[in-house]
Amino acid sequence: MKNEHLRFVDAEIHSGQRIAFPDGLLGFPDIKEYQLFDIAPDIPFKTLQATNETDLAFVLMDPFTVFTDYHITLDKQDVKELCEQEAGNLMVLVILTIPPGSPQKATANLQGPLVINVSNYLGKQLVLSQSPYHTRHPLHPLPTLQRHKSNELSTQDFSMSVDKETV
Amino acid sequence: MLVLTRKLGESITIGNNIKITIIASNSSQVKLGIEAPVDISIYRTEIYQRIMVENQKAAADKTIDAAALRALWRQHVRKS
Repeated sequence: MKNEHLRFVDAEIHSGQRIAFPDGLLGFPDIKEYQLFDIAPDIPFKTLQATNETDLAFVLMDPFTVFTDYHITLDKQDVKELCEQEAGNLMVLVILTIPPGSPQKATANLQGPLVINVSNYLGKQLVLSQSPYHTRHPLHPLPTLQRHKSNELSTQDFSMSVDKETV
Repeated sequence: MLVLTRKLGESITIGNNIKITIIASNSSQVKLGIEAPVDISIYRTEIYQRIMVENQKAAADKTIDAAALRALWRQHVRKS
């Protein structure tokens, strides 16, 4: 597999698309299939709903819309699991924790991002150990939106690195 | 829990293909060398636990309130 076959895209996934997570999400190892739904066209949040567990759902967002410097590294094994059969266009989403009744206190889990291959709809939750991120980054107030605005950055200005020696 | 005592440089083997060696130690830290197949994920437990707990917390609120999320988003945009 070559590096150029792996890139992040600012992709749209059809609302309702099924995504397989062969390892499940941390804490939910037995639930391996979800559907990704848009919530509303005017907000950048999505829901990840377990296909066979109507009670289990997560709110996700594109981290780069808020955390414009966000940066993750995929290792060889992550790439292999996501792109074994197909070269990958990858999408990153992070899980929001929204305290009931206090949505303004929502936080984003930047340490355990979900990476989805939008070519084969395989997903994986990463565990970032060598990273500056933690599991509870406040969305409110936005830490980097000022910079986002002033530099005219778009969601495509995100970065990714792949361990070159191992890919 | 199985408890084993090992000396510096000694190791334990788990199954047929995982080997953990004591590389260095002092009074408060132990350095481990781990040899395992690449498809075995190895995590620092506290980070793994933190993400697991956060996932469970994130999944706890089963009602997804689009209006509240819209308010959250607009509040941000307004503040910028």
